[in-house]
Amino acid sequence: MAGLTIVSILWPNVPFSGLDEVPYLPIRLFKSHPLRSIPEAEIFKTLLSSGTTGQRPSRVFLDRETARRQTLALARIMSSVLGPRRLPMVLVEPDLCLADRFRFTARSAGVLGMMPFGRDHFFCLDQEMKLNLEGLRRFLRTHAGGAFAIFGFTFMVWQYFFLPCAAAGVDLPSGILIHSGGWKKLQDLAISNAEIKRRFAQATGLARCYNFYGTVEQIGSVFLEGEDGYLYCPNFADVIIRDPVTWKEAGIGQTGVIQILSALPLSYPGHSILTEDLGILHGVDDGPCGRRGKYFSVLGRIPAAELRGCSDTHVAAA
Amino acid sequence: MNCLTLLSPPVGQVCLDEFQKRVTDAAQFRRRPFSDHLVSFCTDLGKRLFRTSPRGSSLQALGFFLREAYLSELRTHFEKSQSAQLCCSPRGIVFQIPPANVSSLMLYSWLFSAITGNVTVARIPGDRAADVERILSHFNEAAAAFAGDPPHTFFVDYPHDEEITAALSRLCDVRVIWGGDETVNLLRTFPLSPGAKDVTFQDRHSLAAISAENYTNLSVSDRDSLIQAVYRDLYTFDQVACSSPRLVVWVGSPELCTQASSDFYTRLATHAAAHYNCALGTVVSKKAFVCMSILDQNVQSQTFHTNELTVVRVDRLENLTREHCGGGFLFEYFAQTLSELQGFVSRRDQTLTYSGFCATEIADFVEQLGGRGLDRIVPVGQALSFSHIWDGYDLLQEFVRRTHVVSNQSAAAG
Repeated sequence: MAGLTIVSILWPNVPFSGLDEVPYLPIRLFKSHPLRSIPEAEIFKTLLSSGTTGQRPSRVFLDRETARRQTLALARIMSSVLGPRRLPMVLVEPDLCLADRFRFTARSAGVLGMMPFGRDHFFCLDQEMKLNLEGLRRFLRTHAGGAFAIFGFTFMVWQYFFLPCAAAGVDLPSGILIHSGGWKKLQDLAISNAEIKRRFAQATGLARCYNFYGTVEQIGSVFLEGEDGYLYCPNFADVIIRDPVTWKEAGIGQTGVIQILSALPLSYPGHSILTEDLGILHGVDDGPCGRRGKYFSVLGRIPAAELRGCSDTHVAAA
Repeated sequence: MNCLTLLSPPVGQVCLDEFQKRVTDAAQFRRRPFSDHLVSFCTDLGKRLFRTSPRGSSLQALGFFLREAYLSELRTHFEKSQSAQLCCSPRGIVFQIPPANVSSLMLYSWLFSAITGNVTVARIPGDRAADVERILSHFNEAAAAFAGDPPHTFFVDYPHDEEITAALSRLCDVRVIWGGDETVNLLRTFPLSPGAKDVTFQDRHSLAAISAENYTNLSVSDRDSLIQAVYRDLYTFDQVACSSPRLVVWVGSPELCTQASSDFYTRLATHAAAHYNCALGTVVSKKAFVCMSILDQNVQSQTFHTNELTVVRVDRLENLTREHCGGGFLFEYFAQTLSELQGFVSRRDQTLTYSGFCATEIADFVEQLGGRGLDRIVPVGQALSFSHIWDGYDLLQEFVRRTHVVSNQSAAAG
């Protein structure tokens, strides 16, 4: 019970009187150590993050109950924008059936997690990430007249779906796009979420576009964008923006480090995590789109500290 | 075609064949160790660095290091090793791979091969820190302005190219590899010529020992100067220099240690908050490292914590793995006596900085260690003071050959 040791050493003053006093674990710990709260025999599924090259992936150990709660929570959150009925769904991914299904990466877990909220799934990319335009047109003809869902990772949606669709003049007015992740690559392209929404509406007529913020460490309780462009906390989760100097809760409008809280995890200590992302809280209960709770934006990753020890002089460069 | 960029002399791209020719040609013109030309070039360069670098910076310290008084002291030290029977001459070509984390080391390392008359070829990696660029431009200006013969020096940069590394390894008489371990192991896969040798610097760990009783008796102003000294040791290179302490050992009764250490950390953290720019990325790395050290190194408590300084306590030294994150993070241990460290110290431990111990206590401790570890034992504030005695080597001696000359007369007498 590694988490307990850390808490008793770093937060010796129990009990806690508010959410902001709940101890948190740095997200990097899920990469460096296997953290679980259940005996090995009760592990139902292990999730791996898609960690960048050379980095160890996060490992998240789920028991049946935690996995069930994640599915239920995600269903609740997604039905708030997709409606109660399952919609035909375009997945901006190569067909999962052809990929290695036994590797639960964050990407495949994300896709598998979203699939139950749709029907008549269409994987619109081939294995070379090329858009199957003909297949997409067929899908649109088949489901003409009704709403349909599109899901993918932000960078892939932009690069492999939006750009070819815009070039080919595909109309998507009844589409509801849900996208997430791929921060780093998107930062390289320097395209804001607002820009993505504007360009989609302009080029394809797609007006319902929702980003969400989530991590493999808290799959299920994701923070979904409202119509106003802000991220909202679901009933199962909350966010605390911490002042990077005092580490106390930051005020509205102040940039800080994002801590995420989730009521879902039972099998691993992931209910309170300090991320390495920067965010800004815009308000509580008074969001422009009418949703309640805290609403915030993610500004991106904290720049990595480049402290080079003697041990990594230039091994790679001989 | 294998090409190198010659940064000094600043000629730009040269192909490997031509470069090897330049180096071997240079090696034809033998220089006498500590010749007047060599010494005056070094002092010229030192003056330039000292004059133009910000006060208290590592480049200014480098400039100060190259002062005339110090070089003549070195010369005296060097001449003592010579006699009528023992003649020292340069080994020839020295190929250096300096570290990327401490930019000034490229010149410290250069000095000892240059001043002893060798041809120095140093590989300076491509993603050069601003300080490295400054050193290079001062070096080139000094060489251009020098009236005599400057030491034969080639600062080169080349992309990942095993053929070049292999060729320079075959060519040199001494190869100097500043670690870590992985770099040393990798470079050792490139054979040297049979008569050549390696001078290697492995991954190191360093610690500090402070007498709690002595600290308690210090006046406020003495405490503050001690803090400034420790600050320099710790923060100059973000605590990633091998000789920056990562562990502080308080020596004395537990009560005194508690009292002294808490006063010390408060002062150190205040000084660091005013002088050290701790990036947010470093702060979050340290937050994660605290948790990792609890899981992996049996840390018992976090005794001090601000963004600039985190201190965690261990009650058994043998649990320390010497893993460390840098950026203002200390392990602490309370010991009754200095000799408690004996069982812990290993070959990986390089520098012990100390405060409040007398010469006899230190000498006794060194004797107890019996060479198991610690190559430098210096007062706090001098952790980063480079010297020709480093990591167990006398660097002046590493770059010369000794010719044994026996005269008729002494043979007869012997």
